[in-house]
Amino acid sequence: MSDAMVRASGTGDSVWLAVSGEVDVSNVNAIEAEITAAVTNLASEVVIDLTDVAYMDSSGVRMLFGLAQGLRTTRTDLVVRAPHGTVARRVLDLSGLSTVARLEPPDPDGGA
Amino acid sequence: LAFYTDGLVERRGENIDEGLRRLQLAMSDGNVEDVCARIMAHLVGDTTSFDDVALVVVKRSLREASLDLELPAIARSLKAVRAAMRVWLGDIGASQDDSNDLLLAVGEACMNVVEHAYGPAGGVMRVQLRLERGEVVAQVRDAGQWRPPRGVGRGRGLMLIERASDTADIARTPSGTTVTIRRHLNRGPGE
Repeated sequence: MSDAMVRASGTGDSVWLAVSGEVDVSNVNAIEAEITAAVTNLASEVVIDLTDVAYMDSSGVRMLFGLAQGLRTTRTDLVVRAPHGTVARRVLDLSGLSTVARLEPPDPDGGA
Repeated sequence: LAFYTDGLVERRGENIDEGLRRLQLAMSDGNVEDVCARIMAHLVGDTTSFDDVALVVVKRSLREASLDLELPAIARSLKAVRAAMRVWLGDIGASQDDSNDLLLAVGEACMNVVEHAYGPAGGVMRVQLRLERGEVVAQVRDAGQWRPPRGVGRGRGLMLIERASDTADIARTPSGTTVTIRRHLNRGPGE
């Protein structure tokens, strides 16, 4: 199984989750379970920080799309943090995640 | 290929062509350390040089020109493919952007093999990468039959393969599927 870690912090209103390591089909379900376990009903905003992700493929993108859909039904904002130049940002830009979640930092041209 | 300072081939009161001829004669195929030692022995030897002498011998390794992996078509193999690819891409001097995109495109092709090529009995996947005139050509093969992607969002992998490469070709035959991914190295962001 590929190595990844999820660190959760924040309380009540805002939940912050930092994912690091490699995300692929071998561990994506475990990562998703850790993320959903950390998100309480009280949260109005969930921030997923992917700055330290060393690899992520479409299985991770699929998980984020699903998460965005699930949070929309509970009116919880999803913010995905992946600075420009990071591995995760490249994959998310290629996948068009900004159509379903707020991607931070935003694109320079004001798109997204 | 030898790089050297002029002290290696120049001698006082002698035409430089003589020194270059000596160097040519001393150059031969073999391991770079042996070649270096032979050149130094022939051209410098015991004589006291009046100039500094520096010599660098470079040999292109054929081993670096290709990578060939055969692994069981299971999710755990994906990490091993990435680890081997990172070493190989570093050896050929690929940039971080080129490496990341190739890891993604090949990783997606491998995931398709893991998820779609074989039934419960399983099988193998073969990953080959080679460098051709500044272009990485990656092939991912299986001996199974791809099932069409099932479920919402399952077609995203193929889209990522195409976007992270210059060209991507999928050849399905009764004996298996081969995905060929090509990407030129050192494409600037604006090219």
